[in-house]
Amino acid sequence: MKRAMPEAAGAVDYLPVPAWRRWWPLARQEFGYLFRGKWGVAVFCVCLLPLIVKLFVLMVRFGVVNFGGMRANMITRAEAFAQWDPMRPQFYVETVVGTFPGLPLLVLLTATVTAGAVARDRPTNALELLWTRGISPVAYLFAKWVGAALLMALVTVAVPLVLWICAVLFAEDWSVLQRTIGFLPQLLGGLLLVTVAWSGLCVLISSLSSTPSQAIVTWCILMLGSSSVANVMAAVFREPAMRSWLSLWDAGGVVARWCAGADTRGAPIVPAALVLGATVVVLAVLSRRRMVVTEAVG
Amino acid sequence: MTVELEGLTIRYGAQLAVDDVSCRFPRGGCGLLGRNGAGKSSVLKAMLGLVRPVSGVMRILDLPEGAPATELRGRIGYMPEREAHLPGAAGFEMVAMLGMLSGMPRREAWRRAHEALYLVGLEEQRYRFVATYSAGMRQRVKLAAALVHDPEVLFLDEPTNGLDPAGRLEMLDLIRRLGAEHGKSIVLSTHILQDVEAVCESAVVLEQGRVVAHGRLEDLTRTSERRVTFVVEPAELELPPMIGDCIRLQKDGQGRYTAWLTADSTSQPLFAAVRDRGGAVRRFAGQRRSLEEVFLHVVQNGDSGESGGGR
Repeated sequence: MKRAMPEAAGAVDYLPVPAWRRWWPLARQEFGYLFRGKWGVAVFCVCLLPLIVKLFVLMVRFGVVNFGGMRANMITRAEAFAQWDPMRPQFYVETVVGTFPGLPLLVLLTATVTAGAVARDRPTNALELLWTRGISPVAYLFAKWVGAALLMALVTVAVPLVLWICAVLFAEDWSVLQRTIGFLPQLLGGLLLVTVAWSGLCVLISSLSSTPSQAIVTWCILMLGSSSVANVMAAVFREPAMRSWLSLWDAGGVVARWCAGADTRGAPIVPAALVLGATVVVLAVLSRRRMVVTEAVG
Repeated sequence: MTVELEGLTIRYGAQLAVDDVSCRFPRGGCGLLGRNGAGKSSVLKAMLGLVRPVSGVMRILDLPEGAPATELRGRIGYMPEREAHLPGAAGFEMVAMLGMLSGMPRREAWRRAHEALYLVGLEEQRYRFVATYSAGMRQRVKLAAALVHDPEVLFLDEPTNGLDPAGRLEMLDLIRRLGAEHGKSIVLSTHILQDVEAVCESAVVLEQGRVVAHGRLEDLTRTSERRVTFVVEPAELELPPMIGDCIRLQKDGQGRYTAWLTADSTSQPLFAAVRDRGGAVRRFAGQRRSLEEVFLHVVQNGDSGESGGGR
C-alpha cells in the first residue's frame, strides 16, 4: 500500500466556496438520485405517461395525426370535456393534480426517491460525515428539499410546460398562444407552489423517520390515507368541500387549480392553503428538533 | 502548536463528560488515549465545533477564538469512528462530495478525490459503490474523505477499528507517512496503545473526563528507575535478588534477568557481581516502560500532571 501523494496534491490552491452556497452539490445529488438506476429511470418513464397521452390528444386536436371524426368531436364537445381542451387551464393542471393519474404517480415518484431523502442517510451514518463538514443540518435539509422539489417539478411543472409549447407549435396560427399566455404564469406558479409543498412534506417526513421504509409508509398513509378519510367524511357529512382540507392531496389540487384560474369544484381555497401550509410548518418544527448535530455524532 | 485546550469542560445535561481539561496537541502525531467513556470523543467533537463546551478556551491552529465552525472544519480533516458512507455513492463520488461540502469548487474536489483515493490505495476501486467495500476499504475511504480538502490537521477517531492485523499495520503505516511525508498534524483518538506508539510522538491520557497524563512518549515512558535486561553465562549461574541497595533483580523462566536500578546508580556493581561468581553478562539491554504500563499506572492512580503523570 505504499503510495506517494501526487506532486500536485502537496498543496491545494482554491478559493473556498462560501458556506451559504455549499448546499448545492447535495441538492444536485438528490435531484439525480432517481436516474442512477434502471428502476429509477423506469419510474420516471412511467411518470411521463400522462405527457404522452396528452401529446397524442394535442396531435389529434390540431390535426397533426388524423383519426377520422375524433378531431371534430373534440372541438364540438370542448365545453363538456374542459380537461381535454388545450385552450383551458384544466388541460394542463389536471395532468398533474387530477386524482388519476396524478395521485398514484406522485406517490410512486416520491416513494421511490423523496421519502428516502434523509431517512436513507441514517442507517449508513452518512449524517456524521456530512454534518462534520462545512454544512449545517438546516442547510442539509434545505438542499434535500430543493433537490426533491426540482425532481418532482420535472413531472409536475415541466410536463404542463412541454404540453403548452407543443400546443402552441401544433396550432395552425397563434390563437393558442394568445388565449393561453394569460393564465400560463399563474398556472406554472401554482403547480410549482404545490410541488414545493408536497416535496417539502415528503422530505420532512423523511427527516423524522429512521429508515426509508418507515418514511415511505408514513408518506403513503399521509397522502393516500388522508385522501381516503376525506372521501369517507365528505360522503358521511354530505359536504364535498371537506375533501379540500382533510386530504393533503386534494388541498394541493385546490391550490393549483385556484392559482391557474381553473374550476376548484366548489372547494374553498383558504382552508386548503391553510391545511397544506400548517402541515408543512408543524413537520418543519418537529424536524428542526430532531435534526441536530448531536443526532449524527452521538 | 496545533491545538491548545485550557479549562475545557463539557456537559451533556447533568452528566459531566469532560472536566477542566487543559492540554496541548503539538505538531506531528499526538495520541488521545483513554478507556471507553473517558471523554476522548467529546474532546474531539468540541474541537470540531460540534459540541459547545460549558467553559474553557480552545486555540486551534491560528484561528481566532470563536471562529465559525464551518471555517474550523475547513482546516481540519475528521475521520469518524463509526462505519459511515453516503448511500448509493461510489468511493470517488463520496470523497468528491465531501470535498465540495468542505468548500472546494467542483473541479478541484474531483481532482483531489482521485488523488486522495490513490494515496490510500483505492484507485482501482474508486468507481465501486462504497456499500460493496470491505471493512478495510471503508476505513481507507473515510481517511481519503478526511484528506480531500487538504487539512492541516487530521482528527482520526479509532482509525484501526475493525481491521485485521495486516490491514491495521497498513493503516498505521499510511497515517505515519501522512505525518512524516505530507506534514499533516495528527490527533489519534484510540484506546489501542500500540497504535499510538506506532504513530505518535506525544500523547494525552484521559480518564473520567480529566487529563491524567500528557507529554512526549519519551518522557511518559521514562521511569525513576532504569530497567535493564540481560542473560548470564553460564546459564545455571544464580544471582541474589538484591545487589547492594540499588539494584533489584528478577529472573524469568527463560533464564533472562531483569534488573531495576535507581536513577543515581550505575550498572558496574551488577557486572562485578556476575564476574565475581565466574560468569559473564550477555545481551545487556536497557528497557523503557511500555505505554501500556504508563497508561495502567496513571489510570489506576488517577494522578494528573505534565509529562509523565504516571511517574
